[in-house]
Amino acid sequence: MLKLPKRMEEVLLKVYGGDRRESEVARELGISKQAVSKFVREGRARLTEILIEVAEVLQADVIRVNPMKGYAVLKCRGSGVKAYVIYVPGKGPRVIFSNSLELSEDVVKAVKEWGLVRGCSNDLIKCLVSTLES
Amino acid sequence: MVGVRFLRVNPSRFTRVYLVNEYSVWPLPYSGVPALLSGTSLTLLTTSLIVTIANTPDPLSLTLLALGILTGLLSCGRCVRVVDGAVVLEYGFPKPVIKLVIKDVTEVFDISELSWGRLGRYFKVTALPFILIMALPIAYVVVKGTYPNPAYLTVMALPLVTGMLLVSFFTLTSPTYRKFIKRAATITSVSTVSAVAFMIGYLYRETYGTSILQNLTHASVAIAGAVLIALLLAVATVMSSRNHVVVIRDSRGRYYALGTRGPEVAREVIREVLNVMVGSGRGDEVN
Repeated sequence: MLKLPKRMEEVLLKVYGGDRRESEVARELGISKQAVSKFVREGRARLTEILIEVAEVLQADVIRVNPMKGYAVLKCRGSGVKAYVIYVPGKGPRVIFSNSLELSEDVVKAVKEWGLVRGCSNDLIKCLVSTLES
Repeated sequence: MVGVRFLRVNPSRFTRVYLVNEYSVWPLPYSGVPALLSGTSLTLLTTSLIVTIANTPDPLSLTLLALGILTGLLSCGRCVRVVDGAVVLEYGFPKPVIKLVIKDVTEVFDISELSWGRLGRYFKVTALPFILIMALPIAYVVVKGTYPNPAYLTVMALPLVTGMLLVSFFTLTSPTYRKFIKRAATITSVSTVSAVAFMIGYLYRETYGTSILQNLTHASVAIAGAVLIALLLAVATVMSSRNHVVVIRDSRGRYYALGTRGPEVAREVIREVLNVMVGSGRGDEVN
């Protein structure tokens, strides 16, 4: 399954999506700081694996991987079209192709949770692409 | 696998070391001590050039030149290794003397493939010496209060051209820089052989009352400066059209850069770094 365990997702989103300290998250969740660190480290590795698997399925080359913000930028080998992979918490990775940029509701929610479009109020797609491509 | 060889060294000691082919992948001096050394080298070499123009070669300019070459060699990127789940960047020529160990990689990307990827965003401090070397020839004119010998104009322009090329490399995106460098190369080569040559000849005659060609040393300096500018532009054009820059971020938020020969080598390097990222989270050895 291309999904992270629920607790791991929760910790990653709180630490990286919410830009919070591991100790704060540990207090909030009632677990030790070491446990949070372990979730973060393993979560990053597992998310990287998921994003690589998506690239393999799409037969695309990896241009960028950022497991801290739950995304990857790929380039399809045949067509050269770019694909953006966003990890949607609870559902798994979703792919958006650069030649048909449309965001479903769950992707919009995910990019906000990961903090990818922070400080952006107007064009959400433009803002997202600018974050992923800069 | 294209262009990159990952050699396994020392397999009997449960330590896996991969030596990335140094001719296809090399560390760039954009962070840490190598960045400091490369910035110092550029500044020292420019200062040495200015001092030479001001006083003709003297012990000070030769010392600055020697120090500039030394710091430049120390900051030279030699090879990239993957050792036990860490990416190791080695700097120094002829022997590597500086090592940067990236233990906890959290992000990797080929900045040359990103539409809005600018190196300056990740390596702000590295770009400061480039601005400084552009300011040094202007500072010379201001401090000295006189214009230099017209024969030295092309040599004086060298730091300006170098600084401009490096600043634009850091501030423009990869596709924009490629376009810019091609246009700059064309404009500069045309203007050097026509307008600048004429201007130098005219100014020289105005100042000294004779043709620059009657003084072999002055003519050689002017021609050497023009040739060096043309060479710089040619090198920048070739490098920018072929090489890709891969950026790595560690868990402390520090960025490191690798130069790669072409997009395929860059992808190969990214694949290796991704293996490191996956392996370090599992706490096992990188495969």
